[in-house]
Amino acid sequence: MTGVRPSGQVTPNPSAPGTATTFDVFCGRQAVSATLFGVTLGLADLNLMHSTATTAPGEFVLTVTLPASIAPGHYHPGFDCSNGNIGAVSFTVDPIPHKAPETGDGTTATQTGTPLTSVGYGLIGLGALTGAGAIAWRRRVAQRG
Amino acid sequence: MRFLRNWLIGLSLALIVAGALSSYGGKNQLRWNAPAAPPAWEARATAHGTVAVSTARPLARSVPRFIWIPAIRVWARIEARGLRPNGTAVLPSLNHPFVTTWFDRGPAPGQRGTAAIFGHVDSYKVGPAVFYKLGVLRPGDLVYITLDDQQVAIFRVYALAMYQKSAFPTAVVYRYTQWPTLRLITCGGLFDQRTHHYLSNVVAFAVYVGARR
Repeated sequence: MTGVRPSGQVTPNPSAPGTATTFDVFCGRQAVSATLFGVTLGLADLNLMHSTATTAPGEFVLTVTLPASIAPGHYHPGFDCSNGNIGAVSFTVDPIPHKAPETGDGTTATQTGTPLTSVGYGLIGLGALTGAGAIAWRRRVAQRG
Repeated sequence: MRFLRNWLIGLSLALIVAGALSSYGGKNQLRWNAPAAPPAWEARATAHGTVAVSTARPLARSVPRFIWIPAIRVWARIEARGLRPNGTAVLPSLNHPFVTTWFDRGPAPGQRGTAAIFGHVDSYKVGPAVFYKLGVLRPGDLVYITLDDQQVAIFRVYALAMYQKSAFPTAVVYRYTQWPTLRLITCGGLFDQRTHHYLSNVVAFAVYVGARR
């Protein structure tokens, strides 16, 4: 074990189910590898972290996709360094809606009766009135005759 | 005179027949056009991971109040809502078909991450509802969100997709983005008369381009 206090951060924080999430830890300069414990996140038990061209000596990163089924809440996964240091990172998983939303009741897909219907009723009414007028007229003429 | 009377009777019969045909034809037609669906190429583009990156500086969290989408003439109030116990987002009431809801357990519009706003496509009260024309949006159309702090976050649509509800890709739609993005979500596609539900969702993907006061 070295005197350096291991530390780490998670990006993004808060994260969300199904989101690519990066764990970035610092073990101390003497460390050559680090392992993230993933069981609490629904990942593999041991996840080897990596150093990259942009990481400092003793710094390791790992990007994982959080399971879609991970529960919302606060998580503190631990990590283990090759120099004997151990630590934990803290982050939050926000919820996301799980199912497709029901945003409509089908009114526009099912309701029938276009303006043609109203026009049709109007024409029927007009025809009835015209016919009634013509018949009344004929009767009046017949009575006079 | 007799000719005129006979002519009137003939006219009345013609009007009645025309009216009967017209009302019968209208009665058996859909009252509204089906909600617009995105073109097929849009869905493919989104499925293949079309993304739009924003370089605009993200905003601090502020509750969204209004949404304005000039391309489809939408101006609507936004209500903040969370999740139901069954894990689905709380949606606007069908009694208020021109109100939208923002999923307040996730990022706010303009914050880093994906903000989601839901609206109905139709409602028995009015017919076409607030997001009836969502599928008409095209890449480049702008969406304006008025926030509680009086800033207006501006988003540009970059993709549209229609997903089967039975295979709704929650990870694709809601996943975190390192820059602010927005999802506008409603129903679409075929309507199942048996279950009284639409079989698909229409999703508009938009990226933050800046803010104004």
